[in-house]
Amino acid sequence: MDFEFYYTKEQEEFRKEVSAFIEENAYKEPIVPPDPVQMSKEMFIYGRELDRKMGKKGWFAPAYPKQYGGGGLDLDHCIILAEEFAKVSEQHRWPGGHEVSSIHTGGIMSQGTEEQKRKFLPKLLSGEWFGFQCFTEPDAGSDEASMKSTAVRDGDVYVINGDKVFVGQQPEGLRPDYLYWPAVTDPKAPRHQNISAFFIPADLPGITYIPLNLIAAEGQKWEVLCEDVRCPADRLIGEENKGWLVTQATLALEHGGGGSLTPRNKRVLHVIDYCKKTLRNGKPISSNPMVRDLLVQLYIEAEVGRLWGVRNFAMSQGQIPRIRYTGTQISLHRKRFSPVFGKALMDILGPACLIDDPELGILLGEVVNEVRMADVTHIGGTPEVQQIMMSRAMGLGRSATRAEAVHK
Amino acid sequence: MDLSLTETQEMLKNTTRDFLKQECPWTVVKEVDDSKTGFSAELWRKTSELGWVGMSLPEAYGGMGSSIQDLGVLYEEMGQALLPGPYFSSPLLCGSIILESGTEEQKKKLLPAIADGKQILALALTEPDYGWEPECIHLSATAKGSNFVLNGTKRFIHDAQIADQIICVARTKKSSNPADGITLFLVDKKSRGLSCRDLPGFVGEKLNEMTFNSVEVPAANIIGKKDNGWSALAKPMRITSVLMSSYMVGACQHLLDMTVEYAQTRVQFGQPIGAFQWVQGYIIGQANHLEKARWITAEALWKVDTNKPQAEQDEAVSLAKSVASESFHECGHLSHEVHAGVGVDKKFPLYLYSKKAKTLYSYLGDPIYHRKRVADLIGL
Ligand SMILES: Cc1cc2nc3c(=O)[nH]c(=O)nc-3n(C[C@H](O)[C@H](O)[C@H](O)COP(=O)(O)OP(=O)(O)OC[C@H]3O[C@@H](n4cnc5c(N)ncnc54)[C@H](O)[C@@H]3O)c2cc1C
Repeated sequence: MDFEFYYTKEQEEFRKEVSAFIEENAYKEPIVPPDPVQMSKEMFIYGRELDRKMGKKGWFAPAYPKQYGGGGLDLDHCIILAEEFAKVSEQHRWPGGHEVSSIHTGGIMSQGTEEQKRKFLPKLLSGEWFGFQCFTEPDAGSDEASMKSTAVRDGDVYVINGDKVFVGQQPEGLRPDYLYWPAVTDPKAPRHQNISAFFIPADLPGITYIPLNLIAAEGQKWEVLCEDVRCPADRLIGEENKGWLVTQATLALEHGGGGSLTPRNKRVLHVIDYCKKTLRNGKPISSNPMVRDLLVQLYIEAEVGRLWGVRNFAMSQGQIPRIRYTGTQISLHRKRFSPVFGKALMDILGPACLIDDPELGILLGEVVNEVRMADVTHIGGTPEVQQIMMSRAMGLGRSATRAEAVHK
Repeated sequence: MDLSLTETQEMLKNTTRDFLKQECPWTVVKEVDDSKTGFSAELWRKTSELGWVGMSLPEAYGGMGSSIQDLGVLYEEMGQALLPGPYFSSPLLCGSIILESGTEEQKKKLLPAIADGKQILALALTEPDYGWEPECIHLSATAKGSNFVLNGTKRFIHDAQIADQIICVARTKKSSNPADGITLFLVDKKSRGLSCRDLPGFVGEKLNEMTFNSVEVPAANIIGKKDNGWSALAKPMRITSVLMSSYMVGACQHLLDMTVEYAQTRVQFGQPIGAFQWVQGYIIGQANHLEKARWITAEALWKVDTNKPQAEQDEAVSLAKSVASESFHECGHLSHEVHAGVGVDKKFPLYLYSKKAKTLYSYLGDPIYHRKRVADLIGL
């Protein structure tokens, strides 16, 4: 085995090009809030502009085929892009990177017709369109398949009714381009065979947007209501009543089995650095034996997260055999680590970790954001649902008929 | 042995609960939380009139002279409802400092006003070098004629934004023993050179920063003996810590109850989510945290009430504060795991509890601080 990553000369050249682009377009100062809910309308609009600029260069969805609007770049280039954009994001200087819409492609890629691919993929993969993933309903969270939204065919439209919650990530005063909205099209059909997925044009009459006030999220969230919304029938994704497969393909992308070479938890490293540099009663915070141990515990988990990313990457490259549960394992690890991190911050920093003040907020507000996120472990599915998926992938409890119902 | 509540305590518990149900539903807590001052003058007035504010203070000074165990019942109910207000700062911390260490004149002047809620006092102890040990006290007070001049910063001060007067823990002397040379000053909030701003953040109650820029305080405003202030804090801290534990026990109980109810009514996959073993595991965890905190606190209340030897009281109180802080925090987190999405939404009360848990966690010493005290007390 060799854990060292060697960059080719060509990669180093490409890195220069990427970083020149970044320097030309990034904010000079770190002004992007670590808490995405606090992003202003202006900043979001600029971020979307950057997404489209990247799209033009083929850097927004670099690995996707060129014919559908992706970059068609090989892995070597994708790695450099990921590294450089991760760097500038960590510096709080880059408001772009609204990639949700590129994960929406999963369903079209696997279930869409050739025509749909040609029509929608270029919009999504070039960063041109930005949409809300509208899966969750008030009464259908983990049990997404029990959704009550309906779509009834009427000539060349579907009439859509329903209520989706916790969706989107966009500041107030802006509208998305489309709503990725599954709805029941055959109320008589069995579970999972009764749903169709739509890309509803987001400005149709009958759509209401209500902003939600959450303690933390990956952006401003919304409740969206559809009341007799007449959605053109050519906005159906995949075949009618095959919508379940469409949404599952998206979730598989969201849970991210692909792996990554960029260490995810820079925030742990930032906190360690802060504790080394900040004095309490004349001594670095990190000199306290209790704090040292807590910091090392965080460091260990950050290392595990990083190594699992590398492991998954090696798997995706065929260097080592694939194990089915490893994508979920990473997502579960993140969800279980976040409360541990939040609590350690309270133990190490005291009430200072709660403060969100331009002067006193620690690490530009990264710390208080982490504390807020400690109780928000449900984005893209709760930890238990990850555990169910992981158990399934390991073949546990396969025979139980009840397990069959638990799908997401 | 008899672990039941007395008849009076039962009555106190029921009337308190009924009053808070009526006057302090969670929507009121949210309103106060959203407000600029983080304070409801109306609730404060009404609870003062009911005698809650003065309950701990002797009748001779306008209070009710209730026992610590009675107060435990009251504070537990306050915690259930998450009643906001300076119930720790004013009557417990500052009230007992004055009662234990003040001159007769100070007591006569201040205690009745504290007891009936007319005067609000707050304790300014912690500083940018955050901690509850005497070595964290740097704010200096130097003699100048018949006055002292205070210079320094106090940070994370609860209730200072609404206080009329502050008891400031200041250093009057540097010595090799950090507990020696600390003095308590009663400072008018309107004093020249004193400024106060609240620190925005994810806080369950307002935390303030106070800057003392050559604030002149008459020597007559010293409470207790000069240089001897640290020991004057011991008993007030003990009483307040144990009653804060009661408050947190009440809050844990509420979190457990609301989570059980939610697990029984929220249906996913055709069954109440309480039927899923992972959800059961979370709720069982909450019940365990609650019952740990409840009984450790109950015994500590009793030990303080019956005036057991000081070391025994200190050990019991530090056990209670460390366990209750952990329990409240964990019960909050476990509630979030069970409520998932709705728990994160400010349309539901849960976040008010979890935010409060994070704020009381460090107040008067976090679990690590109190475990360290226990370690010393049990001779480790
Ligand atoms: C910040 C944030 C962002 C979000 N973003 C989006 C978005 O962009 N688009 C979108 O569609 N949705 C989004 N969601 C919704 C999210 O996907 C749901 O919250 C999540 O799927 C859980 O659903 P729920 O909240 O209804 O909880 P429930 O499903 O009601 O779960 C409640 C509890 O029951 C447990 N449970 C449920 N079923 C089982 C089972 N079978 N076995 C064991 N335990 C079970 C859960 O684990 C949880 O502990 C977001 C949520 C949040 C908080």
